Amino acid sequence: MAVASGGKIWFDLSTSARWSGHAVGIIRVEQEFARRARKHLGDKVDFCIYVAAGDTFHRLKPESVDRILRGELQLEFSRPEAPPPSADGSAASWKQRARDLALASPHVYRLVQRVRGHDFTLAQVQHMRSELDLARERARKGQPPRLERPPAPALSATAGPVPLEASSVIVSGGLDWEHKDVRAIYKAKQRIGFRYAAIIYDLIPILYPHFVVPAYVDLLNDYFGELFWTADAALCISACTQRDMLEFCSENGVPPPASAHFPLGSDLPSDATVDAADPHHLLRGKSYAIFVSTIETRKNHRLLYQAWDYCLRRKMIDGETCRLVFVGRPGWNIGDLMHEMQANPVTRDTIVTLSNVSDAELSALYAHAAFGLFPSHYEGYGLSLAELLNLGKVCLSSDGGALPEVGGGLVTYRDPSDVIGWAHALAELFNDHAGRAALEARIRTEYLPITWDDAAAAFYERLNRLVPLA
Amino acid sequence: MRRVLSLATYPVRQPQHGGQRRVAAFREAYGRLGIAFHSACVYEAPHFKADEVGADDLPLGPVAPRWRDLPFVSDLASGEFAAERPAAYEHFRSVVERLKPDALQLEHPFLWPLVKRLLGEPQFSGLKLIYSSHNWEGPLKEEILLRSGVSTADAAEVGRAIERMEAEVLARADITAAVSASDAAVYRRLRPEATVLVVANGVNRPPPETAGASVAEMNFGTNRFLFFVGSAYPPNLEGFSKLVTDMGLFFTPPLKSLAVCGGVSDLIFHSASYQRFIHANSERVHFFPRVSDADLSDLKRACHAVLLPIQFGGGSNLKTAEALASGRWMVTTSTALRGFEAFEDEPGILTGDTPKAFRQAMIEVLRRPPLQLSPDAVQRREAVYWDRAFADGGFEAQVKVLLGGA
Repeated sequence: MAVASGGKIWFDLSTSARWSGHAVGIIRVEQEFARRARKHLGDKVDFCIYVAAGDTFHRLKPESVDRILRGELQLEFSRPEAPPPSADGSAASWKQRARDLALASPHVYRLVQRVRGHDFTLAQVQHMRSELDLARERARKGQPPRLERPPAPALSATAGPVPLEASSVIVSGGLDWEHKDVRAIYKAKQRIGFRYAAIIYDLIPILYPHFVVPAYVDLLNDYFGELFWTADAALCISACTQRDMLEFCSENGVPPPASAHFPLGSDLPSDATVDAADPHHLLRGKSYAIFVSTIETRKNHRLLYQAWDYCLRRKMIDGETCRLVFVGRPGWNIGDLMHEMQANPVTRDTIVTLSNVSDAELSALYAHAAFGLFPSHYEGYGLSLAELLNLGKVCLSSDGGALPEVGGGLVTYRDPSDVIGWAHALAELFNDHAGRAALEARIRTEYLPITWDDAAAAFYERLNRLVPLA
Repeated sequence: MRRVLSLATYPVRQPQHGGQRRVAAFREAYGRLGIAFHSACVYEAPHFKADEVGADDLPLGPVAPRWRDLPFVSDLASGEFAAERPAAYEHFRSVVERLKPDALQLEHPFLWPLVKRLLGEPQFSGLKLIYSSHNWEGPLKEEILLRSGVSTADAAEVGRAIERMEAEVLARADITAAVSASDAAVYRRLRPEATVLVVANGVNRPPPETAGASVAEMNFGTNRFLFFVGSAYPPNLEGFSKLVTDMGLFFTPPLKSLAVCGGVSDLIFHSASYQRFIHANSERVHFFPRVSDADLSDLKRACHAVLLPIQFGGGSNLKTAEALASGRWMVTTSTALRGFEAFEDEPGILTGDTPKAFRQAMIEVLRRPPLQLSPDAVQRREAVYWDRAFADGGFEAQVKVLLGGA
């Protein structure tokens, strides 16, 4: 790594630089805070990417930063110095068709690319596939493609290596377990002495490995196992995550980095428009509860399925007029659940699963929902819960992990293993219209939404406190 | 000059693993009595280099199919091979004829079929027999086989066959030297009239520090490091995998902080639990698969703590004696302390029998400053040296009674 004078805070955009779609989850956090970095840090902040091939942080050109944050520039890291692919129309078209075909099976695509010398993670391939699905959807709807150019070589967007010195601080909040060699960063820190501040989202792969794709369990164990020896500061997205981090350090004999927690923003993206007059055609005339999440074991769709089945078989909920709506792509290890929901005559037509919905469609789904659900076994934060409250929706939530921290006293909580308790709570929310209206009124008057501006102010206050610049 | 011929299932010219070191200690003990000590063995050829075997050692040849279907039974197969293969038996018979020993010393019970046949010959029937036990082998072998996926019935059958062998040896032996009080109690129960002594496993007195580059300093600098040594013996791998590497070595920073020595190195490197976090482990572990005595002493002297992650096994653990003698912190299981119960409450020993407890003990010991033993504690640890083990167990006195002086 280059060493020169210039104590600065370097905000790492390595994850956003790989992204091309709508910013969600970790990508959104990285981008929302990056956009507000100058406001809070002034000219003390600059932006960089990490190129694993040379174990080096590279300074991003200012125009590259803006384009990355606008979603207009996607960088290619596997060959950071390679020229962009040929624009040969026919070859590109043939290659494109082959790529699209292979992407139908992410494992096959990975294998093919590995033979060609490209090493993509499963998450990257799944992201490519979701981008392909979205592109097809946009094409079907006559919308222009989101990203019109192929990814650019990473180094083409940079202006040389970051001149790290002892007073420099790297701030990193991306998918670092995918993109960074933390051991190399540890060694560079030993040599140069710069400081490293990491955003910690959750330690779920360590606490609940049975809910996580097996390959990720080892990847994340390895990442956290090295990160807490490397990081000087751990900025956690909730008090719950901070507790989990400190517990991990204690159990592993790692001196814990300085730590603090901050909230996430929950204001919806400005481009998310609500078409209140147009509910989804399957839900017209129905009262429905909505759960927006990838369908995976940790999110605990099974609990809702079982509670729903319990309610309908006991006539606690009217199966003619009420619906349970899952919005999200089927994820890992949920084949049995999907089969049960489809095969069960009680749930087959009353649980509606929707995936690949646009932002506008999702907004409409939220707007027309009777109330929201969040039965997850464990969450490091639970942004969807905050967004539901922000929309004034009544929420029935699990009390796992950080959810009570996010929902406060305005959410009804049930244990994520209590099927009967959830069944009764669901029935009550569907049937007690007056009670639900009263709750909605309370949320509208009492809920204090946290904006991304608020979240960023808290984040940079913590950052300044934990790793003050000399 | 009185003469003893030791028969074993491994050569002892260059003692490396625990069994070899115990035999070497007997050689020293006989030497102090003025008794010549010779050794002959059946050995597995691929495991030993030419300079490790002696002229009277014989490589294991083809064995019956039943031995080929089971793992870890080459020692049993060696006994049958030596007793029943005409050329093999003739080899050992000629060794006995040539050396004319006063006594045979049987290391482990596995070559009992050979010894039994030899003692059955009229010209050898008067030879004394000293049984040098290293473990109560029947139950141990049964456990090893079970843990290796062998069926319960097959494992039990092998275990019973070894126990029958052990009972026969006890009946014929003039002296039985057990490694622990608990093994001795078992033998006395099996054969109340047997002369059973306890010769605990011990260690050689440390060589003086040599001038020159320290292997510890070269590889670990000033970092604190943990030390583990073991032969390519399944319990060594299993204990290390379950208690040390199973959850990764993230309790140390990504710097060299663990020395793994001896034949177990290859097994550990290729084990699933090590490979799971291969990159992280490679930052932290330095392997010393074939390490000289001098370097081993240097590493033991320089380490912060010795690990004894032994979960099962019989007898007493020679490595425990070495760890006690090193005067370093010890992180151990109760199993590894078998035979050294007197040291259980000594300062500097942290015990953990589950992966979590063992890991916590390693974390705890790394936080502590280097161990400083009081003069009294140092004196108590004198008992782990071989010369003291033989003297305290009464072995030398008993041999004098049996064989007379030099």
